[in-house]
Amino acid sequence: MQDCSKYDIMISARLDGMLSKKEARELEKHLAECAECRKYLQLLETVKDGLREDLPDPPETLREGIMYKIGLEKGRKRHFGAIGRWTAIAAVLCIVTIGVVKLNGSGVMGAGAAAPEAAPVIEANSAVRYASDNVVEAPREGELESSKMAAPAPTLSAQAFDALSGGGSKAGGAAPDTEPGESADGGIPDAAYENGMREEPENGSVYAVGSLPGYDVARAALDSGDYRGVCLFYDCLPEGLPDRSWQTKIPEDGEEARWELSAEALTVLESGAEWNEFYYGDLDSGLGLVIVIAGEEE
Amino acid sequence: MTREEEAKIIRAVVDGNTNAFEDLVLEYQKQVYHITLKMTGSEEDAFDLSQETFLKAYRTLGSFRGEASFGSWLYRMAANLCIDFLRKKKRYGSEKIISLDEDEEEGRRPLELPDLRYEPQSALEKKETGERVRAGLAKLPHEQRLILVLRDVEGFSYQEIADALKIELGTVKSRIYRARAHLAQLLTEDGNFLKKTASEETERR
Repeated sequence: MQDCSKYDIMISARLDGMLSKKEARELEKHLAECAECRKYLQLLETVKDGLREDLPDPPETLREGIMYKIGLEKGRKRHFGAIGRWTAIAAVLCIVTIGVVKLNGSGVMGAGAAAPEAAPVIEANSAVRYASDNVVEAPREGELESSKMAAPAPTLSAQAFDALSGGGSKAGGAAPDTEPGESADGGIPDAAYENGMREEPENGSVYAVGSLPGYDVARAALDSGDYRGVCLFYDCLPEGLPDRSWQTKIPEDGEEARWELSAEALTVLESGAEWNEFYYGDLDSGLGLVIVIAGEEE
Repeated sequence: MTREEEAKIIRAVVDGNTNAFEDLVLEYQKQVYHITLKMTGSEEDAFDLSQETFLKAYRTLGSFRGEASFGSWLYRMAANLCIDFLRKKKRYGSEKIISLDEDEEEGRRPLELPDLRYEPQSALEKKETGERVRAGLAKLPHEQRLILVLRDVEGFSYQEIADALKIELGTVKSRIYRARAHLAQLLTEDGNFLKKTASEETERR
Protein backbone atom coordinates (compact mmCIF):
# COMPACT_ATOMS: atom_id res chain seq x y z
CA MET A 1 0.00 0.00 0.00
CA GLN A 2 1.15 3.41 -0.83
CA ASP A 3 2.48 5.65 1.87
CA CYS A 4 0.36 8.71 1.55
CA SER A 5 1.69 10.46 4.63
CA LYS A 6 3.66 12.87 2.50
CA TYR A 7 0.36 14.26 1.35
CA ASP A 8 -0.96 14.81 4.87
CA ILE A 9 0.17 18.36 5.34
CA MET A 10 -0.74 19.22 1.79
CA ILE A 11 -4.25 17.99 2.29
CA SER A 12 -4.58 20.22 5.29
CA ALA A 13 -3.06 23.19 3.51
CA ARG A 14 -5.40 22.70 0.63
CA LEU A 15 -8.32 23.34 2.93
CA ASP A 16 -6.83 26.74 3.66
CA GLY A 17 -5.92 27.50 0.07
CA MET A 18 -2.28 27.48 1.00
CA LEU A 19 -0.81 25.24 -1.67
CA SER A 20 1.49 26.47 -4.33
CA LYS A 21 0.34 25.88 -7.87
CA LYS A 22 2.77 23.04 -8.19
CA GLU A 23 1.68 21.43 -4.97
CA ALA A 24 -1.96 21.85 -5.88
CA ARG A 25 -1.46 20.11 -9.17
CA GLU A 26 0.46 17.29 -7.58
CA LEU A 27 -2.17 16.78 -4.94
CA GLU A 28 -5.05 16.89 -7.38
CA LYS A 29 -3.39 14.22 -9.43
CA HIS A 30 -2.92 12.04 -6.43
CA LEU A 31 -6.43 12.54 -5.12
CA ALA A 32 -7.83 11.40 -8.43
CA GLU A 33 -6.18 8.06 -7.83
CA CYS A 34 -6.36 7.56 -4.11
CA ALA A 35 -9.58 6.88 -2.28
CA GLU A 36 -7.91 6.87 1.11
CA CYS A 37 -6.60 10.36 0.66
CA ARG A 38 -9.96 11.52 -0.54
CA LYS A 39 -11.47 10.14 2.63
CA TYR A 40 -8.82 11.86 4.71
CA LEU A 41 -9.44 15.13 2.96
CA GLN A 42 -13.11 14.78 3.73
CA LEU A 43 -12.38 13.96 7.35
CA LEU A 44 -10.13 16.95 7.87
CA GLU A 45 -12.63 19.14 6.10
CA THR A 46 -15.37 17.95 8.42
CA VAL A 47 -13.16 18.80 11.36
CA LYS A 48 -12.33 22.23 9.98
CA ASP A 49 -15.93 23.08 9.19
CA GLY A 50 -17.11 21.75 12.50
CA LEU A 51 -14.97 24.28 14.29
CA ARG A 52 -16.70 27.17 12.69
CA GLU A 53 -18.77 28.92 15.25
CA ASP A 54 -20.56 32.16 15.75
CA LEU A 55 -19.21 33.49 18.94
CA PRO A 56 -20.87 36.18 21.01
CA ASP A 57 -19.55 39.68 21.22
CA PRO A 58 -17.91 40.65 24.44
CA PRO A 59 -20.17 42.47 26.90
CA GLU A 60 -20.02 46.23 27.20
CA THR A 61 -18.62 45.79 30.66
CA LEU A 62 -15.39 44.48 29.21
CA ARG A 63 -14.47 47.73 27.59
CA GLU A 64 -15.81 49.71 30.52
CA GLY A 65 -13.86 47.67 33.01
CA ILE A 66 -10.66 48.00 31.07
CA MET A 67 -10.93 51.77 30.74
CA TYR A 68 -11.88 52.08 34.37
CA LYS A 69 -8.88 50.13 35.55
CA ILE A 70 -6.62 52.00 33.24
CA GLY A 71 -7.93 55.22 34.68
CA LEU A 72 -6.93 54.01 38.11
CA GLU A 73 -3.45 53.34 36.98
CA LYS A 74 -3.03 56.54 35.13
CA GLY A 75 -2.34 58.64 38.15
CA ARG A 76 0.78 56.76 38.91
CA LYS A 77 2.83 57.33 35.90
CA ARG A 78 3.57 60.51 34.21
CA HIS A 79 5.44 58.99 31.38
CA PHE A 80 5.71 55.45 30.34
CA GLY A 81 9.42 55.77 30.51
CA ALA A 82 9.46 56.92 34.06
CA ILE A 83 8.89 53.62 35.65
CA GLY A 84 10.84 52.67 38.68
CA ARG A 85 13.68 50.46 37.90
CA TRP A 86 15.42 48.10 40.17
CA THR A 87 18.93 47.64 39.17
CA ALA A 88 20.71 44.76 40.67
CA ILE A 89 18.86 45.37 43.81
CA ALA A 90 18.36 41.86 44.42
CA ALA A 91 17.49 41.11 47.81
CA VAL A 92 15.01 43.31 48.43
CA LEU A 93 13.98 41.37 50.99
CA CYS A 94 12.37 39.72 53.06
CA ILE A 95 9.48 39.51 54.90
CA VAL A 96 6.54 41.25 55.80
CA THR A 97 3.83 42.74 57.72
CA ILE A 98 2.56 40.97 60.64
CA GLY A 99 -1.07 41.74 60.47
CA VAL A 100 -3.11 38.86 59.31
CA VAL A 101 -6.75 39.09 58.65
CA LYS A 102 -8.28 35.97 59.94
CA LEU A 103 -11.65 34.86 58.85
CA ASN A 104 -13.52 36.20 61.79
CA GLY A 105 -11.44 39.25 61.90
CA SER A 106 -10.64 38.85 65.52
CA GLY A 107 -7.53 36.81 65.65
CA VAL A 108 -5.34 39.47 64.33
CA MET A 109 -1.77 39.44 65.29
CA GLY A 110 -0.30 42.56 66.64
CA ALA A 111 0.99 44.77 63.98
CA GLY A 112 4.24 46.34 64.85
CA ALA A 113 4.46 44.32 68.00
CA ALA A 114 7.87 42.98 67.30
CA ALA A 115 10.95 44.85 66.44
CA PRO A 116 11.82 44.44 62.85
CA GLU A 117 14.14 41.67 62.00
CA ALA A 118 17.46 42.77 60.83
CA ALA A 119 16.48 42.50 57.28
CA PRO A 120 19.18 43.03 54.77
CA VAL A 121 18.48 46.08 52.78
CA ILE A 122 20.28 46.53 49.58
CA GLU A 123 21.15 49.97 48.48
CA ALA A 124 19.51 50.79 45.25
CA ASN A 125 22.16 51.22 42.68
CA SER A 126 22.31 54.35 40.70
CA ALA A 127 19.62 54.98 38.18
CA VAL A 128 16.41 54.73 39.98
CA ARG A 129 14.00 56.75 38.02
CA TYR A 130 10.95 57.90 39.72
CA ALA A 131 7.43 57.61 38.67
CA SER A 132 5.12 60.55 38.88
CA ASP A 133 4.67 62.36 42.08
CA ASN A 134 1.18 61.47 42.98
CA VAL A 135 1.52 60.49 46.52
CA VAL A 136 -0.98 58.36 48.25
CA GLU A 137 -2.93 60.62 50.45
CA ALA A 138 -6.58 60.75 50.98
CA PRO A 139 -7.87 58.02 53.18
CA ARG A 140 -11.23 56.53 52.87
CA GLU A 141 -13.77 57.76 55.30
CA GLY A 142 -14.36 54.36 56.71
CA GLU A 143 -10.70 53.74 57.24
CA LEU A 144 -10.28 56.19 60.04
CA GLU A 145 -12.91 54.52 62.10
CA SER A 146 -11.75 51.04 61.56
CA SER A 147 -8.16 51.74 62.31
CA LYS A 148 -9.08 53.11 65.66
CA MET A 149 -11.30 50.25 66.51
CA ALA A 150 -9.40 47.10 67.19
CA ALA A 151 -5.94 47.45 68.54
CA PRO A 152 -3.97 46.03 65.68
CA ALA A 153 -5.01 47.09 62.28
CA PRO A 154 -5.30 44.13 60.04
CA THR A 155 -3.10 45.45 57.38
CA LEU A 156 -1.60 48.77 58.12
CA SER A 157 -1.22 50.96 61.07
CA ALA A 158 -1.55 54.66 60.71
CA GLN A 159 2.14 55.17 61.22
CA ALA A 160 3.10 52.69 58.62
CA PHE A 161 0.81 54.27 56.16
CA ASP A 162 2.27 57.63 56.89
CA ALA A 163 5.75 56.34 56.55
CA LEU A 164 4.95 54.80 53.28
CA SER A 165 3.07 57.56 51.71
CA GLY A 166 5.22 60.36 52.89
CA GLY A 167 2.99 61.76 55.51
CA GLY A 168 -0.32 63.43 55.70
CA SER A 169 -2.44 60.38 55.52
CA LYS A 170 -4.19 58.10 57.83
CA ALA A 171 -4.32 54.39 57.90
CA GLY A 172 -5.71 52.51 55.04
CA GLY A 173 -6.77 49.01 55.43
CA ALA A 174 -9.70 46.80 55.53
CA ALA A 175 -11.91 47.10 58.51
CA PRO A 176 -10.90 44.56 61.09
CA ASP A 177 -14.13 42.81 60.92
CA THR A 178 -14.13 42.47 57.24
CA GLU A 179 -13.76 38.93 56.14
CA PRO A 180 -11.29 38.33 53.46
CA GLY A 181 -13.96 37.22 51.17
CA GLU A 182 -16.01 40.37 51.52
CA SER A 183 -15.23 43.71 50.16
CA ALA A 184 -15.25 46.58 52.53
CA ASP A 185 -18.05 49.04 52.26
CA GLY A 186 -18.30 50.49 48.84
CA GLY A 187 -17.86 54.02 47.84
CA ILE A 188 -14.24 54.93 47.86
CA PRO A 189 -14.15 58.59 47.10
CA ASP A 190 -12.88 59.42 43.68
CA ALA A 191 -10.21 61.59 45.18
CA ALA A 192 -8.75 58.55 46.82
CA TYR A 193 -8.47 56.80 43.53
CA GLU A 194 -6.79 59.72 41.99
CA ASN A 195 -4.29 59.65 44.73
CA GLY A 196 -3.65 56.07 44.11
CA MET A 197 -5.72 54.07 46.51
CA ARG A 198 -7.51 51.08 45.31
CA GLU A 199 -9.60 48.40 46.78
CA GLU A 200 -9.08 44.80 46.05
CA PRO A 201 -12.56 43.47 45.60
CA GLU A 202 -11.93 39.95 46.72
CA ASN A 203 -10.73 40.47 50.21
CA GLY A 204 -11.39 44.09 50.85
CA SER A 205 -7.79 44.97 51.55
CA VAL A 206 -6.97 48.40 50.44
CA TYR A 207 -3.89 48.96 48.43
CA ALA A 208 -1.96 52.01 47.96
CA VAL A 209 -0.95 51.94 44.42
CA GLY A 210 2.13 53.90 44.94
CA SER A 211 4.24 55.99 42.83
CA LEU A 212 7.14 56.24 45.14
CA PRO A 213 10.17 54.44 44.04
CA GLY A 214 10.14 50.96 45.39
CA TYR A 215 13.30 51.31 47.27
CA ASP A 216 12.21 54.31 49.24
CA VAL A 217 9.01 52.64 50.11
CA ALA A 218 10.73 49.54 51.25
CA ARG A 219 13.10 51.60 53.32
CA ALA A 220 10.31 53.58 54.90
CA ALA A 221 8.40 50.45 55.64
CA LEU A 222 11.30 48.90 57.42
CA ASP A 223 12.07 52.05 59.33
CA SER A 224 8.53 52.34 60.50
CA GLY A 225 8.94 49.18 62.45
CA ASP A 226 5.66 47.87 61.28
CA TYR A 227 7.06 45.82 58.57
CA ARG A 228 9.73 43.30 58.78
CA GLY A 229 10.31 43.48 55.18
CA VAL A 230 9.02 43.65 51.77
CA CYS A 231 7.91 41.07 49.40
CA LEU A 232 8.02 40.99 45.70
CA PHE A 233 5.14 40.07 43.60
CA TYR A 234 4.92 40.30 39.94
CA ASP A 235 2.57 39.73 37.12
CA CYS A 236 2.70 40.09 33.39
CA LEU A 237 5.89 38.25 33.21
CA PRO A 238 8.43 37.48 30.70
CA GLU A 239 7.72 34.11 29.28
CA GLY A 240 8.50 31.15 31.33
CA LEU A 241 8.28 32.75 34.70
CA PRO A 242 5.43 32.12 37.04
CA ASP A 243 3.39 35.11 37.72
CA ARG A 244 3.48 35.25 41.42
CA SER A 245 6.89 34.65 42.57
CA TRP A 246 7.00 35.45 46.16
CA GLN A 247 7.61 32.48 48.29
CA THR A 248 5.47 32.92 51.25
CA LYS A 249 4.27 30.90 54.01
CA ILE A 250 1.31 32.36 55.75
CA PRO A 251 2.27 32.09 59.35
CA GLU A 252 0.39 29.89 61.71
CA ASP A 253 -0.68 31.36 64.98
CA GLY A 254 2.29 32.51 66.90
CA GLU A 255 4.62 31.79 64.08
CA GLU A 256 6.67 34.51 62.60
CA ALA A 257 6.00 35.60 59.12
CA ARG A 258 8.82 34.59 56.96
CA TRP A 259 8.88 35.23 53.32
CA GLU A 260 11.76 34.87 51.09
CA LEU A 261 12.40 36.33 47.83
CA SER A 262 12.07 33.55 45.39
CA ALA A 263 14.80 32.73 42.98
CA GLU A 264 12.65 33.82 40.13
CA ALA A 265 11.93 37.20 41.60
CA LEU A 266 15.57 37.66 42.20
CA THR A 267 16.33 36.84 38.63
CA VAL A 268 13.78 39.30 37.42
CA LEU A 269 15.13 42.00 39.65
CA GLU A 270 18.66 41.40 38.70
CA SER A 271 17.77 41.58 35.09
CA GLY A 272 16.80 45.17 35.66
CA ALA A 273 13.15 44.47 35.20
CA GLU A 274 10.90 47.41 35.57
CA TRP A 275 8.47 47.57 38.36
CA ASN A 276 5.37 49.50 37.97
CA GLU A 277 3.38 49.42 41.07
CA PHE A 278 3.48 48.41 44.61
CA TYR A 279 0.84 47.45 46.99
CA TYR A 280 0.64 46.98 50.59
CA GLY A 281 -1.80 44.40 51.52
CA ASP A 282 -1.75 41.37 49.36
CA LEU A 283 -4.27 39.74 47.24
CA ASP A 284 -4.60 36.51 49.06
CA SER A 285 -3.92 36.94 52.68
CA GLY A 286 -4.20 40.60 53.38
CA LEU A 287 -0.65 41.03 54.40
CA GLY A 288 2.48 42.39 53.06
CA LEU A 289 4.06 45.04 51.13
CA VAL A 290 4.55 43.98 47.65
CA ILE A 291 6.20 45.40 44.68
CA VAL A 292 4.87 44.47 41.33
CA ILE A 293 7.31 44.03 38.57
CA ALA A 294 6.09 44.76 35.11
CA GLY A 295 6.76 42.15 32.54
CA GLU A 296 8.90 42.69 29.54
CA GLU A 297 7.34 42.97 26.18
CA GLU A 298 7.36 39.71 24.38
CA MET B 1 -7.76 50.80 11.37
CA THR B 2 -4.62 51.37 9.40
CA ARG B 3 -1.14 50.94 10.75
CA GLU B 4 -0.70 54.70 10.70
CA GLU B 5 -3.85 55.31 12.65
CA GLU B 6 -2.81 52.72 15.14
CA ALA B 7 0.65 54.19 15.52
CA LYS B 8 -0.92 57.54 16.17
CA ILE B 9 -3.16 56.19 18.87
CA ILE B 10 -0.32 54.35 20.50
CA ARG B 11 1.82 57.45 20.55
CA ALA B 12 -1.03 59.39 22.07
CA VAL B 13 -1.51 56.86 24.82
CA VAL B 14 2.17 56.71 25.59
CA ASP B 15 2.20 60.48 25.78
CA GLY B 16 -0.46 60.38 28.40
CA ASN B 17 -3.77 60.38 26.59
CA THR B 18 -5.19 57.36 28.30
CA ASN B 19 -8.59 57.62 26.72
CA ALA B 20 -7.14 57.02 23.32
CA PHE B 21 -6.52 53.47 24.37
CA GLU B 22 -10.22 52.87 24.12
CA ASP B 23 -9.99 52.90 20.35
CA LEU B 24 -7.63 49.99 20.50
CA VAL B 25 -9.94 48.16 22.85
CA LEU B 26 -12.85 48.70 20.50
CA GLU B 27 -10.84 47.50 17.55
CA TYR B 28 -9.55 44.31 19.07
CA GLN B 29 -11.75 43.28 21.93
CA LYS B 30 -13.91 40.98 19.87
CA GLN B 31 -11.10 38.79 18.68
CA VAL B 32 -9.38 38.80 22.02
CA TYR B 33 -12.60 37.80 23.68
CA HIS B 34 -13.24 35.05 21.18
CA ILE B 35 -9.77 33.63 21.55
CA THR B 36 -9.96 33.58 25.31
CA LEU B 37 -13.46 32.18 25.17
CA LYS B 38 -12.52 29.25 22.98
CA MET B 39 -9.38 28.59 24.91
CA THR B 40 -10.98 28.57 28.33
CA GLY B 41 -14.51 27.55 27.53
CA SER B 42 -15.79 29.94 30.13
CA GLU B 43 -17.30 33.36 29.64
CA GLU B 44 -16.11 34.44 33.03
CA ASP B 45 -12.56 33.37 32.43
CA ALA B 46 -12.65 34.87 28.98
CA PHE B 47 -13.77 38.16 30.44
CA ASP B 48 -10.98 38.16 33.01
CA LEU B 49 -8.32 37.11 30.58
CA SER B 50 -9.45 39.62 28.01
CA GLN B 51 -9.22 42.36 30.56
CA GLU B 52 -5.86 41.18 31.67
CA THR B 53 -4.66 41.16 28.10
CA PHE B 54 -5.62 44.75 27.48
CA LEU B 55 -4.32 45.91 30.81
CA LYS B 56 -1.04 44.26 30.19
CA ALA B 57 -0.90 45.81 26.75
CA TYR B 58 -1.60 49.20 28.23
CA ARG B 59 1.06 48.82 30.88
CA THR B 60 3.73 47.71 28.50
CA LEU B 61 2.71 49.88 25.59
CA GLY B 62 5.80 51.96 26.03
CA SER B 63 7.86 48.99 25.04
CA PHE B 64 5.92 48.13 21.92
CA ARG B 65 8.31 48.64 19.10
CA GLY B 66 5.92 48.56 16.21
CA GLU B 67 7.79 45.95 14.24
CA ALA B 68 4.90 43.61 14.33
CA SER B 69 1.41 44.94 14.13
CA PHE B 70 -0.27 45.86 17.34
CA GLY B 71 -2.83 43.16 16.74
CA SER B 72 -0.21 40.45 16.52
CA TRP B 73 1.42 41.72 19.66
CA LEU B 74 -1.90 41.77 21.43
CA TYR B 75 -3.01 38.34 20.28
CA ARG B 76 0.26 36.89 21.39
CA MET B 77 -0.28 38.34 24.82
CA ALA B 78 -3.77 36.91 24.92
CA ALA B 79 -2.55 33.53 23.79
CA ASN B 80 0.19 33.41 26.39
CA LEU B 81 -2.13 34.47 29.15
CA CYS B 82 -4.56 31.74 28.12
CA ILE B 83 -1.90 29.11 28.06
CA ASP B 84 -0.52 30.18 31.42
CA PHE B 85 -4.01 30.13 32.76
CA LEU B 86 -4.71 26.68 31.43
CA ARG B 87 -1.41 25.35 32.68
CA LYS B 88 -2.16 26.57 36.13
CA LYS B 89 -5.53 24.94 36.07
CA LYS B 90 -3.95 21.74 34.99
CA ARG B 91 -1.47 21.89 37.81
CA TYR B 92 -4.30 21.90 40.24
CA GLY B 93 -5.95 19.06 38.52
CA SER B 94 -9.01 20.81 37.34
CA GLU B 95 -8.64 19.87 33.76
CA LYS B 96 -7.48 16.77 32.06
CA ILE B 97 -5.65 17.25 28.85
CA ILE B 98 -5.11 14.35 26.58
CA SER B 99 -1.69 14.70 25.21
CA LEU B 100 -0.04 12.15 23.06
CA ASP B 101 3.62 11.99 22.40
CA GLU B 102 4.57 14.20 19.57
CA ASP B 103 6.46 11.63 17.68
CA GLU B 104 4.02 8.82 18.07
CA GLU B 105 0.38 9.01 17.38
CA GLU B 106 -0.13 12.60 16.48
CA GLY B 107 -0.18 13.42 12.84
CA ARG B 108 -1.01 9.92 11.76
CA ARG B 109 -4.19 9.15 10.07
CA PRO B 110 -6.74 7.10 11.92
CA LEU B 111 -6.42 3.48 10.97
CA GLU B 112 -9.98 3.28 9.86
CA LEU B 113 -10.86 6.30 7.89
CA PRO B 114 -14.56 6.91 8.02
CA ASP B 115 -16.16 7.42 4.68
CA LEU B 116 -17.92 10.70 5.01
CA ARG B 117 -18.34 11.54 1.42
CA TYR B 118 -21.64 10.02 0.68
CA GLU B 119 -23.45 10.68 3.87
CA PRO B 120 -25.84 13.46 3.32
CA GLN B 121 -25.97 15.50 6.43
CA SER B 122 -29.15 17.09 7.60
CA ALA B 123 -28.92 20.42 9.26
CA LEU B 124 -29.32 18.73 12.59
CA GLU B 125 -26.58 16.24 11.85
CA LYS B 126 -24.31 19.02 10.77
CA LYS B 127 -25.03 20.82 13.99
CA GLU B 128 -24.31 17.74 16.04
CA THR B 129 -21.11 17.07 14.23
CA GLY B 130 -20.05 20.61 14.92
CA GLU B 131 -20.79 20.18 18.59
CA ARG B 132 -18.75 17.03 18.75
CA VAL B 133 -15.87 18.64 16.95
CA ARG B 134 -15.88 21.60 19.28
CA ALA B 135 -16.08 19.31 22.28
CA GLY B 136 -13.06 17.51 20.92
CA LEU B 137 -11.22 20.79 20.68
CA ALA B 138 -11.22 21.02 24.44
CA LYS B 139 -9.28 17.79 24.63
CA LEU B 140 -6.36 18.97 22.58
CA PRO B 141 -3.12 20.16 24.11
CA HIS B 142 -3.17 23.90 24.61
CA GLU B 143 -0.90 24.79 21.75
CA GLN B 144 -2.90 22.76 19.29
CA ARG B 145 -6.13 24.16 20.55
CA LEU B 146 -4.77 27.64 20.14
CA ILE B 147 -3.76 27.24 16.57
CA LEU B 148 -7.10 25.82 15.54
CA VAL B 149 -8.90 28.59 17.38
CA LEU B 150 -6.89 31.15 15.48
CA ARG B 151 -7.23 29.47 12.11
CA ASP B 152 -10.60 27.82 12.01
CA VAL B 153 -12.60 29.71 14.58
CA GLU B 154 -11.30 33.20 14.11
CA GLY B 155 -10.14 32.80 10.55
CA PHE B 156 -6.67 34.23 10.95
CA SER B 157 -4.53 33.77 7.88
CA TYR B 158 -1.38 31.72 8.05
CA GLN B 159 0.63 34.92 7.98
CA GLU B 160 -1.37 36.48 10.77
CA ILE B 161 -0.82 33.38 12.84
CA ALA B 162 2.89 33.42 12.02
CA ASP B 163 3.09 37.04 13.17
CA ALA B 164 1.11 36.48 16.31
CA LEU B 165 2.96 33.39 17.44
CA LYS B 166 6.32 34.48 16.06
CA ILE B 167 6.84 31.30 14.10
CA GLU B 168 7.61 30.55 10.49
CA LEU B 169 4.92 30.04 7.92
CA GLY B 170 6.03 26.46 7.39
CA THR B 171 5.65 25.85 11.09
CA VAL B 172 2.16 27.29 10.99
CA LYS B 173 1.28 24.93 8.21
CA SER B 174 2.55 21.82 9.94
CA ARG B 175 1.12 22.78 13.32
CA ILE B 176 -2.29 23.34 11.84
CA TYR B 177 -2.10 19.99 10.18
CA ARG B 178 -1.04 18.20 13.36
CA ALA B 179 -3.77 19.83 15.37
CA ARG B 180 -6.41 18.89 12.85
CA ALA B 181 -5.07 15.38 12.55
CA HIS B 182 -5.05 14.96 16.28
CA LEU B 183 -8.57 16.22 16.58
CA ALA B 184 -9.69 14.00 13.75
CA GLN B 185 -8.10 11.07 15.48
CA LEU B 186 -9.79 11.78 18.80
CA LEU B 187 -13.14 12.11 17.14
CA THR B 188 -12.73 9.00 15.08
CA GLU B 189 -11.62 6.94 18.02
CA ASP B 190 -14.60 8.07 20.00
CA GLY B 191 -16.78 6.70 17.29
CA ASN B 192 -18.13 10.00 16.24
CA PHE B 193 -18.10 9.17 12.60
CA LEU B 194 -19.50 5.70 12.64
CA LYS B 195 -22.12 5.03 10.12
CA LYS B 196 -25.44 4.39 11.73
CA THR B 197 -27.94 1.99 10.37
CA ALA B 198 -31.45 3.19 9.75
CA SER B 199 -32.85 1.30 12.71
CA GLU B 200 -30.23 2.68 15.05
CA GLU B 201 -31.21 6.11 13.90
CA THR B 202 -34.83 5.68 14.79
CA GLU B 203 -33.90 4.10 18.10
CA ARG B 204 -31.75 7.07 18.96
CA ARG B 205 -34.66 9.37 18.50
